[in-house]
This record gives sequence, C-alpha cells and structure tokens, in this order.
Amino acid sequence: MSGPLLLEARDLRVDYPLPARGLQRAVGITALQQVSLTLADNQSLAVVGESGSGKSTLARALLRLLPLAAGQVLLRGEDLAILTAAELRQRRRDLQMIFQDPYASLDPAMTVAEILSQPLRVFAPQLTAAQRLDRCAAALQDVGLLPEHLQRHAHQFSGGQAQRIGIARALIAEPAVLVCDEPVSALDLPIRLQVLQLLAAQRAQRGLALLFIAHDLAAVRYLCERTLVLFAGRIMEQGPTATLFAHPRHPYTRTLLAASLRADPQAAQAAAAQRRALAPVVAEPAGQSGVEGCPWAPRCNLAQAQCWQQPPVLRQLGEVQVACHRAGETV
Amino acid sequence: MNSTTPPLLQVNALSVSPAGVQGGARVVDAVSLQVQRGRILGIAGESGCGKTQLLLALLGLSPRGARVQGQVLWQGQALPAQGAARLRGDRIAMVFQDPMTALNPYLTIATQLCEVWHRHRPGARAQANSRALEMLQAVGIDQPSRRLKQYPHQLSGGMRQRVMLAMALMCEPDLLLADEPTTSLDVTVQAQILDLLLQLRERLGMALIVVTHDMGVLAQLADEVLVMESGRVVEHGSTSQVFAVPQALATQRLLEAARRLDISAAPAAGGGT
Repeated sequence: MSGPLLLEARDLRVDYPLPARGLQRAVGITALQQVSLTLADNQSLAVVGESGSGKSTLARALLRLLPLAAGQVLLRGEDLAILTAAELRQRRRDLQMIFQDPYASLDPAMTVAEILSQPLRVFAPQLTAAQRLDRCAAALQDVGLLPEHLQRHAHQFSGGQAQRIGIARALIAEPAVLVCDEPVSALDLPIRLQVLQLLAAQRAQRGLALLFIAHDLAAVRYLCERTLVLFAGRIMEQGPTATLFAHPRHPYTRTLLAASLRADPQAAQAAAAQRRALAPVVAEPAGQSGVEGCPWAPRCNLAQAQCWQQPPVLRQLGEVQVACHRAGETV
Repeated sequence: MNSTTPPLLQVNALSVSPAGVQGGARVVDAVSLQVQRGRILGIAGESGCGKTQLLLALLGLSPRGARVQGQVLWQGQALPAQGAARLRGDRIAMVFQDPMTALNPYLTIATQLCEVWHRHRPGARAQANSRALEMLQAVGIDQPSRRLKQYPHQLSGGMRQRVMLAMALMCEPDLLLADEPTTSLDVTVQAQILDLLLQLRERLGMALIVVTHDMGVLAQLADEVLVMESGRVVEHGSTSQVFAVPQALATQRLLEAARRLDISAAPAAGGGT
C-alpha cells in the first residue's frame, strides 16, 4: 500500500517525574530516549527487553497514554500530539491494545457482551443494539469462543479464554495496528501457543500490523518479522528477527538469547555454557559510574574503557542497526 | 548410592479429594514417586492437572477438609497423613510461584528469614542474623546487609524470588519443592535462578522437585520427569528418555508447545512474510 506510513515514532523521550525528597530537588528519570521506529501496514515489529527497559512505556507513549518529553508519534503522517481529545479518540480506533493481565483488563462487573460493545458504541454509534450484539457474537467466534459466552462474566473464563476476549475487544474496532503488551506471558505454554496462533491467523486474515511487546524471545520469533531490542530506555539493536537471532551483534541480544529456555536438554546445556561465557569479566573502572557510558557496560563481557565513557550511537551494520562500540569486531 | 539406603522421599498411591465433593473425585489420584538425595525430579502438566495440589499434600498443606490418602515415607519412615509439619521449613522447604504474595509485606526481609531459624533452631537464636546474611549472599543478592533491613516492596521481582529461595535454604533442607519458581520472571532472571538452583544442588547435595508447565525448565534442570494429567501420573522416565520418545499424549502436547515456542523454531505460517 502506498501513502503515508502507518505508524512512525521519531526520537521519543519520556521522563517520569520523581517527587522532591526533603531538601533534594524534584528530578526526573528518563524512561525512554532517542527511540525511533516505523511500522508499515501489514508489518510486525517486536519490542523486547527485560522489566524496566522501557518497553511498556514505549507502547503507552505510542498510544499517547503518556506525555512525551520530546519526539513525535505520527499515525498515517498525522502528529498525534496536536489532535484534540475528540480527534484522538477517533484515531485510536486504528491503534488497539491488548494487555498482559487478561483479568485485570476486563471489567469484572460487565458481561462479555457489554465489554465487546464498548468499542462499538464509540466507533460505530450508528449500530442498533441488535446489530451490536451480532457483531459481538461474530467477534467471539473469530477468537474461537462461542456466542453463548456473551452473557458470562470475565471470572467464568480461564486465563487463555479471557485473553481471547481481550483480543476480540481489540479486533472489533477493526484497527490497523494491534499493540500487544506481553499478551501471553501469564499463560501456560500450550495455551500460549494457541493464543499466538490465533494472533498470527487474525493478522494474516485482516492484514493487521502488529507491535508486540515481550520479554520472551520465542514468542517474538514465532510472530514478528522485525525485532527491536531495548535496554535502559535505549535501542540496543534492531533488524530482521531471523538475522538478529542467527547473528546477534549486541552482547545484550546475545545474553537474552542465551537466557531463553530451550525445549531440548542438550540445547539447554549449551545455552548454560554460553551464559557462563557471557558473564561480565571487567569490573567497573575506578571513578566511573557507568552513567555516562553504555548502559549495558556494567553487565557486559566485552566492556572496555571507551564503553564506560561514551554512549554508543545506533549504526548500521549489515542488515541490522546496533548501538555497541565493539560490534563488528571479530569476536 | 547404596541400594539399601531408602530414598529421601517415597510417595505411595497418594490421593487428594477436595472437601465437599461427593463420590470419588480426586485432584491427585494415586500418585507414586521417589526422590533420591541430590536428584532433581520435574513434574510437568497443564494448569489444573493437580501438580500444585500434589506438592501441598506432600507438605501436609492440603486445603482444610480435603481427604488425603496414601503413604509418604521420609527416609524410609512413614509420615502420618497430615504430619509433615515437623519437617516443613527444616528438612523440606518450598518456594512458591508468586513471591509477592508469599512474602509478608509488613515484615522486613531479616524478620522473615530469621523466623524460619527461630522456629527450627530455637537453641541457636544468636546465629539467626548471620545465617540470614549468609543465605542472601548464597543466592547472589548484592548488598545483603542493606537488603535485610528492607521490605518486600522495595525489591525487584527477581530479588524477591531470591529472598524466597534464601528463606527456604535457611536450615539447609534435604529437599526443596519449587512450584513454578520462575514463571513470573524475566528471561535473564529466570536463567539466573535456574543456574542458581543447579549450583545449590551441587554445593549442598540438596534434592529438588520442580513443578512447571514449561518443558524448557525441565530440559535444563531435571534428572527425571513425571507428567501429570487430571491428577494422575501419565508418564515417568529419565529426562532424556521423556524428551526423546514421549509416550503419553499430555507429554507430547507439552513438548510440542515448548518446541514450537523455541528460539530456533520456525515462525508461524504467514508470520514470516
């Protein structure tokens, strides 16, 4: 499809204010900085990193659920920050979100029919009550549930079923982008696979773009063509998922891969050996705090003087972009 | 090991029926198993298969009113049906899935660690604090003396799970029961905790029962694997054997999910376009 790019973020920065403590002045912590990304129609992009890396902050910033300290979010070329509240509400139809905890994100006092009707009331107010109910029933069937489930409440479902309802609620708005924040990490493995299969199928069928936030690299591998690795609010590496997994350039990406559980005892042993090899060997040099330099340096097996002193910038290396002083050296 | 030495833990036809259920409904149905000193047994199954109820029954912590039948032998000695209280926290310890709900938010880490010691080593109260410090170091927590004075909410999820582990290790148990010890954690922290469990086994000669829905956890940890479905054991064998030639459908389902969701697996059809 031609025309403006579906979703683009330029140099995002998000600060969280910290309250003043005693005589100390109020200061902010920077949760996200210099993060840029693009997502075209029909594409899928994963954002991976550990807790505290800023990945949920990124999702919220993209949806304008958080104020930006700097940068722009463009949806089909339109800056979300300058929209009025009413305009924003309509644009959000294109950007629907699925949350991590299926129970916490479904109102326990509402029936499934009421939950699924909410987006329709906003985005399709012309529908009659009967038409709405038909759409809700169809949406449930799309996610593998039954129309008779419409009158039930969230607590009557298993975790996997509840997450399907969350997906149905997002899809019923017919969005262009689905933003998924750790949608399967609370689920048992077999159920996790089913929900990922559902997302893959719905995506293929509807031509949806997907922004998938996860700490689980296997789910990312399963679902996303491109991956962006975030640490301490900064992009460490990004590129095609297959390339990134086969030839990780950043030591942090290697660490994440080596930490992933393997479905085979021999592969698990090899991964454990690799983790030992990746353990940091260099202690923090005296007089350096690690704040000015690369955020990964304190946990890096390759850190050298330069890494403690100046933060690496993101640079192109083959098919990927990587922020590491030592990437590209023969290691 | 000498063949006349009885296993550390032997369970014969253990069944649990929940309170208020008529007829023969059992959440744990005639489960038998053995654990030798220093060995790691993995118990796998989907949610609702009875794996957590089995662990609770082993500890004598089944819900009030539940009927527990069968025999639990500790080093060859029969335990009364609900009688693991003497061993609990001392010779047998447990690590729960959710460290946030298992730790008391009102008490400091030091108080919670020392409580275990006071209960089981009443004659050695003076050593409690130094023991707690030692255990926090053993599980790889930095600045342990500072952490002792803190409350659970001041720690990250990975650190809380390490504190749980330190608490379980206070009396150097012979057997550690771990119920989904890493499911709520980041991949990097998960790997650290699993590596740590293996080190502790090496160092302390501790035996371990790990309960999980993720065969990947067992690929790394377990010497043998037992698979449960609807309260029953449907498969039991060495880890290499269970992974190579899984017999039961439940095992195949768990393995299939783990293999499809492995970092070296192929992407979903339509996902890699």
